[in-house]
Amino acid sequence: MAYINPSPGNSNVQVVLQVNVIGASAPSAVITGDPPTAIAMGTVLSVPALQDITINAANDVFTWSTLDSSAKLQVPTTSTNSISGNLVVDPTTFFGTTLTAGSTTAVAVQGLLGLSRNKTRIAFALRVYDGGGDGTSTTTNDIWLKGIGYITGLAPTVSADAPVWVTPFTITVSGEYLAAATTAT
Amino acid sequence: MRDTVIELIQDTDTGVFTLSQELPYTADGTVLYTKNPKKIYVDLAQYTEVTAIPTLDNNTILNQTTSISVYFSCEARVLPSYDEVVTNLLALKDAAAVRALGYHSRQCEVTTEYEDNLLITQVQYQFTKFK
Repeated sequence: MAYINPSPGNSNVQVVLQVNVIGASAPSAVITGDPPTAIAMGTVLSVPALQDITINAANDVFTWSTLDSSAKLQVPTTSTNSISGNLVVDPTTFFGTTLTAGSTTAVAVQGLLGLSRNKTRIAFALRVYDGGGDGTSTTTNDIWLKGIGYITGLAPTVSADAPVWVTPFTITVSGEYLAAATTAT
Repeated sequence: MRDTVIELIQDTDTGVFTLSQELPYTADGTVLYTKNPKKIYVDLAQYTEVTAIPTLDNNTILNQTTSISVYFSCEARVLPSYDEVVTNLLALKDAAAVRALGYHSRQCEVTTEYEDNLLITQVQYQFTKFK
């Protein structure tokens, strides 16, 4: 039995969330196959100051009853996948380097708000586990959860009692999750 | 921060009370503010840092609180412009020079105690900002 302790602040093992726009070649993320079998993340935007993160992968369930059974029968159907969490708003990564950037510009130019506003299709990679404990993305026994989706659910808020901008976010995943050992493939 | 508080007190109407640049240490078994009534002493700043917003990386936001105590004493029988001085010292927590330093919480507490015929007043400022 082992457990995963992502030790906040330890860059070698901490949770890392990367996003990138999708394109034909780097620095964009490059998708192989349809449905995707591999995602090369390219030059990513690492999302800083995550407060919490949740991987949602709940299958819907089809339920029926028969006259000869006292219990319902069920089978799982398709799942609605998403990554959700909360983060502290960092001006550069949230607003991007150009406030009015369009959907064809680089991920760092759009920022998270631009990706949401432009409904930009993105690739994401979430490091769940660093098998080498070395903080690199090349260790073969790392666990990265990848996929394709959209940034949604932004709702930045601030108050007099908590005078720091924080926001929830959701990556609405379109399709399956992919698990990979590196961000390169 | 002690320098800022000293400058603010210098620019404030403190009536018959005068500001000392010395720390309120104990000399010959007596603290200076009881030895020298009507003199205002500003102690060194004390700092505490606690986590305000934890994050999953090393961008955790800290609340840094700076506490500064100001002491003075006077004869309890006749209080020379005491209320006015305390009111002026209370107002210093919201001075422009303090607000400019980015403190999102500015508090001040005034407490008193008696020692023989002296009324000892402690004014404690607490300034908190994110770090």
